[in-house]
Amino acid sequence: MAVIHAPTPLSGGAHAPLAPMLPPIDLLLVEPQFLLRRTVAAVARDMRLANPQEITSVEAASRLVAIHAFDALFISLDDEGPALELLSRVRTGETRCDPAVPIAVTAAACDTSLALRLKTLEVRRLLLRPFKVKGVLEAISALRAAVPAASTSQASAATPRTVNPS
Amino acid sequence: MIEAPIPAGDVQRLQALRDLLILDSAPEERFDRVVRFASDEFDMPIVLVSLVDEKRQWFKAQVGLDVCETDRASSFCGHAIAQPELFVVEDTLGDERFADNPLVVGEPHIRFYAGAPLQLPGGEIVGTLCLIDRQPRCLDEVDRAILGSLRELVIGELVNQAATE
Repeated sequence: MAVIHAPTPLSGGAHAPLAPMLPPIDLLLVEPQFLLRRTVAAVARDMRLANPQEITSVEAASRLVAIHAFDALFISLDDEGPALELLSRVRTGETRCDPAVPIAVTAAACDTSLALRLKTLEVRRLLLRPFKVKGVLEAISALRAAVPAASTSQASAATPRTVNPS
Repeated sequence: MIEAPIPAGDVQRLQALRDLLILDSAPEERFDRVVRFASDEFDMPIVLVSLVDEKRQWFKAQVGLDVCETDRASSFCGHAIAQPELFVVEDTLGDERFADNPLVVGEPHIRFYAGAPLQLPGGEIVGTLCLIDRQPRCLDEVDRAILGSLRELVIGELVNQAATE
């Protein structure tokens, strides 16, 4: 698991023409802060990194993953207990997502206990607040690189878009 | 210094700005939070939502400045609204339009400026969301995309305000 404190160069997307072109991924973005969530979603869409489904709470995200599969998950741990429970249910195959779906999370802090739990849950990236939009985009780019090409939403035309339940 | 140009259709532009009923209104959190967010995201000491009136630019939201308006002729935003694209001056001292501008040689000693024009659905550009630094800077493509996204949020708030008045 990588812990990110500062942004690193992005790969892919219309704004990085030298990087390998990958299709945008179907991303579940769970972030309660409006400006951060909306900006990340808009830029990720603009850069063709992802087609984000914006969700404000873990509770709403839990309902959504019960009916819709995503290529990757990006989840705030502000509501830590329910968020970790959601990740656990994803990994045990209790949602529509692939149990091996790439996951990144954000948190205000991380102690040893949380780090071990995130490692157990095979979380690929942890961003500690405060972070920048650029850092989130870099993490989404890494998630996209981890998604098998054949499984992306555009490649497989899998499940249709759903209504945001938040 | 080259004064800010008066774009074609400025009368209609000013009418669209006044129709928003926002000039000289009180600060509002929905704009303030955008400039705070942009200041943090870009590490910029000054961020403004600037609306370009007939003779002045007036700041609806600001981080890092103690004044609420400056004159239009010497304003950077007056240049930025002359076209719809992001307007960037990476180093004012190397740009003949701005090297001797009073906002460059005096307070707030602008060295870097990036203004994202606020274009209303009718096409009128009423102001900018702008980033200012006291040292030369440049924006990469991701920075520009982020600024563009924040600009759209400000436009959305301006339009929503007009719709609810």
